[in-house]
Amino acid sequence: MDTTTVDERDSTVIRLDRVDKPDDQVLGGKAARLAELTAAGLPIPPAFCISTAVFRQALEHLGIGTDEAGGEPGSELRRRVLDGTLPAAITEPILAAYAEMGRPRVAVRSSAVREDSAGQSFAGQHDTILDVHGDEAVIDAVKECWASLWSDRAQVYRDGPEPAGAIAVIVQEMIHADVSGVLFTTDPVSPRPHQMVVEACWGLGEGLVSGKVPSDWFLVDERTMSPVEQEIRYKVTKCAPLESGAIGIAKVDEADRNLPCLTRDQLEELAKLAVSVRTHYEAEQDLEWVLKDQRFHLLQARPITTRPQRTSRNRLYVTEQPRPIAEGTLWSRMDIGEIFTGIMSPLGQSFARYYQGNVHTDCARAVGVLDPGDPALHMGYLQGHVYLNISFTSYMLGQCPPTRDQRHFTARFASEEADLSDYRNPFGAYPGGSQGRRALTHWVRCTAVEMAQMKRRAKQMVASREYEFDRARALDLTRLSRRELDAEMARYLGYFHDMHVGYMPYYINAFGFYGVLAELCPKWLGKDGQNLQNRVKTDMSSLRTVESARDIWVLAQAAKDRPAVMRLIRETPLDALPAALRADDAGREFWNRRVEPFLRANGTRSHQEMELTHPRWIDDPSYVFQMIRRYAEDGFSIDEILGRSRAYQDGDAAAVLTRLPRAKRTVVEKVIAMYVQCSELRETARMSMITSIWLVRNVVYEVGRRLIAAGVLRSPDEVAYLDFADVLGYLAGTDEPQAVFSKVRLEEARREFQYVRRLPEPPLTLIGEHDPARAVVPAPDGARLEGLAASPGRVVGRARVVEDLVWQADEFQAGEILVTRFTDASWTPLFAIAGGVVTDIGSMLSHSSIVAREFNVPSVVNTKQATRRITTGDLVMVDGDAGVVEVVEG
Amino acid sequence: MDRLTLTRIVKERQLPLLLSATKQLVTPMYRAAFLAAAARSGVLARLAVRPCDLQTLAHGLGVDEHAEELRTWLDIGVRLGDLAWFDDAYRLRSRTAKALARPGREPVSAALEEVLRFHLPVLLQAPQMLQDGRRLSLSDQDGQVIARSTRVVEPFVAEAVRRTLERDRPLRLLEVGCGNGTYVRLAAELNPRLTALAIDLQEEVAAEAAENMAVWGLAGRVQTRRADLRTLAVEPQFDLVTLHNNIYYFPIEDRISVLRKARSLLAPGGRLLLTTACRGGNLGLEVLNLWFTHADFGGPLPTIEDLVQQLTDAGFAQVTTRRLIPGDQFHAVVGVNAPAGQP
Ligand SMILES: C[S@@+](CC[C@H](N)C(=O)[O-])C[C@H]1O[C@@H](n2cnc3c(N)ncnc32)[C@H](O)[C@@H]1O
Repeated sequence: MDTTTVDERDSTVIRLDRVDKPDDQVLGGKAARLAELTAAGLPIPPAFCISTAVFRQALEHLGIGTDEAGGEPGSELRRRVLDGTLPAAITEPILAAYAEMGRPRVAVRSSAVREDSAGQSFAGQHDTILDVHGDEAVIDAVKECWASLWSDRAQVYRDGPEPAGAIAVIVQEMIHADVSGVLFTTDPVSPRPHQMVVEACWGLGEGLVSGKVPSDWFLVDERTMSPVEQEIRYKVTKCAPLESGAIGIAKVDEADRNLPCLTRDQLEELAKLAVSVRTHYEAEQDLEWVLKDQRFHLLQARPITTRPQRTSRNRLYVTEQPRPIAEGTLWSRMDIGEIFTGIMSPLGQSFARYYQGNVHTDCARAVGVLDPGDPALHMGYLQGHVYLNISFTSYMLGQCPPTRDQRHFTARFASEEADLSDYRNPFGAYPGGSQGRRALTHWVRCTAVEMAQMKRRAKQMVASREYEFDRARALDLTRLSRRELDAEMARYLGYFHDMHVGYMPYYINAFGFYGVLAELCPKWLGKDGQNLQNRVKTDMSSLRTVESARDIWVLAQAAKDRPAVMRLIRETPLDALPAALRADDAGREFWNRRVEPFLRANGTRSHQEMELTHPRWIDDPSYVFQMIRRYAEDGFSIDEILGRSRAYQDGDAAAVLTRLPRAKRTVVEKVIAMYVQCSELRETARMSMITSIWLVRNVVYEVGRRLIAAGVLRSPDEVAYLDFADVLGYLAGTDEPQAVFSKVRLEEARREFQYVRRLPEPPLTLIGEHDPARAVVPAPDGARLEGLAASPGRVVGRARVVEDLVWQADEFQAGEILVTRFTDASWTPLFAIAGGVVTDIGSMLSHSSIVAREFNVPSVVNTKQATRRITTGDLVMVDGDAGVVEVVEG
Repeated sequence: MDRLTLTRIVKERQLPLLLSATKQLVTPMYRAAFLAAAARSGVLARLAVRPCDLQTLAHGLGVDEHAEELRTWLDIGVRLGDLAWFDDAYRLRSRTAKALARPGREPVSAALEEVLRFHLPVLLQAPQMLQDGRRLSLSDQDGQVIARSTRVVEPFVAEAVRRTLERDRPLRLLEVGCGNGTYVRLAAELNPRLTALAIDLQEEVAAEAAENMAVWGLAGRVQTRRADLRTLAVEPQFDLVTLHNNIYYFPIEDRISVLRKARSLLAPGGRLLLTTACRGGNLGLEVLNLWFTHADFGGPLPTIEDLVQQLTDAGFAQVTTRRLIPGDQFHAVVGVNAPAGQP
């Protein structure tokens, strides 16, 4: 077969390096570009293309007219293509070309005639089948690519009734990449002159696009061909061929996790390649590349259509504000409930917006605020992160006596990133006079009511939680009509509202009573008073959160008592484990008697729970089983650890109180009692709040499932790009899903998220607006890190950097120093066996700090840099009294 | 009556009996029928506003061409003393007519109609039906009339709904045999976050309820449709299932399975509220009982003890009862669908 000219009538299968005049009509867009790049001498993996003419022949043979778009349903045409047998006249040239290549493993990729302006990638992507091997498999993969022309997804967003077009297929040598990534010759979302963006991950590139695996990010100046900024992540996972032969997620070797995926020299080489592609096309390019055995290959090139930059990018307010306000507002995402901390997907952010508009002001009212003001002022958004408007909140809380003086509240958010010395609240102070008096009376009344009913409400919240949980477990959402599902959503959102509003007073009151204690103790008792205060803080042995560690330990013991079950737990891959247990007699007994009750008590937990895309323990119990493996192996008793705090508490802490006159003593005792009680109630109520989010999540994922079935989404991963308001709109109406979920907006959400995800994390606290370009903090040198002393004690141990809780839980050795970006309640089981805890982000009142104190684990939080400066295996010293971490031996 | 007969009657001294029967039995029945029709047709309401001449009334009823026939009917009303004819206009006369004409009294006139249309026939025909082996069927009762007439007990049922319904959390209600939808409306007003599925076995009843929901602005929260509880295939999503005044629409032998079915649609911990007339109550209730003992689709009224037992047998826990009308056999029963592993 020697085809040197491309002519629709006789050319059928063409090697890409032999294409003369690449014609999109014949090769499809993708293959035509690859042929051009091959001709230009760029490193494209060997490939041949099966032209659209072959596609037409095949259809003719199968009796399908090419203009059949309206007639038969897509699914039927698809089936006919997949099941049809092709004549030798069609298969032979393909197999001959494959043989000529040497029958390697190949990637089979569709190359449609009408897709592929960059903006269309979301819906236009036709299938790619990786790692295909053997004649039969190649033919099947080709058919699959052809059939993808009628995929639900391709059909759903096809405008108008015109025919589906034609499709060519590329068969290309599979590169089992060491490193993969993308390169934008200019940043498509936020262009900066002369700067290219490179994103790179270990292994194959599949996980990168969907955001499933962590990646490094580089900004390369094309004049010097060297990186001007970079963000090197701790990369625990990669995409790779698994033992089963399928491609999936695997762990990265520990030694490689901290390393940049690309060296400076490699970046330079890659950037040069990119420049030549751009020069060739005289247009900005979006490239997919892979690195294998030190050699780069390009897999795809597409022009970038840069869109005008959104002006609001640096602004946090959701509505237009006068300049003094916009520029003078203090924002923070520290301590605003760990359910928000960290980056959020478009779905998560839009859900936060829902919370802001429908729940937050009622939370403020619940703590006795008479006038919570405009909901739009309460929260702000920056680079996928959610912020609390500290200025407005402190102004508003000026209505309540304990927070009348704004300084207390504001000072907590000071940090080295935000210098508060010149800060003045642009909203001023809440007015006094008659307005202030009315607010005060209101607060007094509310607080009296709260004190009287807080215990009862906590009880009700527990009861309703169990009720809602059991009810939801008995429901099969897939069987509800859209209307019923809408009613479900309304119900869960109502519950979500109530549980948040019910939770908030405990939170604020615990905070308030602690403030009173912190003032009284040193005043009346001096240094001993401070001790007392610290011990009281530690005395929260019945925290629900801590109980979750105990519950896992108990579960681990129960598994240990059943050797057959324990063997299953140890030997079954995590994702197959629940099914494996339920399929086994002993396993089922264990599941029903032990796992189910555990899940009922703890299963709706996850990390950063407001982020709806995070599966809860009950949705993906991998982490729980990782911890069971861990706890079952270590042969220590959790009671020893939990007991640490209680033994401590029994000492002479209370003895100092006898020094006080009776009246003062009563006051302190009362305040301590109230503080402890509010903290306990808060933990109890928190579980109800978390459960309410799980309920909402279930409906969102059911909608996601329906959208996949309707071809609007490709996979559950894409639920992350939905707008929560659209989900509600879809449920409330009867419109076709593709009319509600606009392709353009989905695509925009995806791009925006990919963009913000690779930006350096925005500061925890900031004033006014934020410019990501100015924000890069150079990593300080040296082996010493300073942070906040969150839990007292000094300890020296080996560090373990944990980026991915689920994937790494089984690596963690008892006694190691846990180093991570931030933690929340779901990390508690790991705390129970940690020697020390160091985080990048956090404050004294973070959940993690509280839990560290509870377990008596020395802890330093808010070090900013720990995960970047400390490497797994380093010997580090954690000084939880001074708030210092030192690398003793790197 | 021809002369001969008359003579015979007189001779046999039946005349006094006939006369007194007419006065004591027949006239009240005539009045009841006349008033029920006058209420239903809107004549009472019209006359309550102001006296009207024949033309106006005929026009109001849309029977302008049949004014003369209408006059015949109206004049009977005058003879019965419920209307008066004065100054070329009809007006209300009797206390009863005036009382029935007041707004909000529709249930009473509907109850009257129910007595005339359903109670009288069964009283009249019961022995014959037994002889013929004939039974009443669902089509022998006008669902819409029944729905209106059961509103006599509305305040009492409403009281039971008020007591049972939780108001401070989102709630999902299934109302079985919703009639015109009054109680669903009440529940939706009591709990603004309630959503409901309202079903009724009869097409036209369900249609009327659906229309009402739209008028009341509840179409978004309440889905109304024709369905039979026994074959309703939905997920166990309900916090509360209500059955008002219709347990006797199910044969005795089906009641446990019907209640079990209701329970299967409840969330674990959800509740059933059932209100019903029971045996041994006032005469009207006993006739209702008679009707359903002669029907081919229902069964006799239950006793309250039977009901409690049936709920228990259907798996409900914590079954409680409450007499809704002091001194009468009208009750509410509540049962809980106990979550697994709890009593
Ligand atoms: C006496 S009416 C009561 C209406 C209303 N509940 C009330 O109290 O005003 C009884 C209603 O129950 C309905 N019904 C009887 N059997 C039913 C079944 N199996 N499923 C649903 N509705 C039923 C009838 O159609 C009828 O409209």
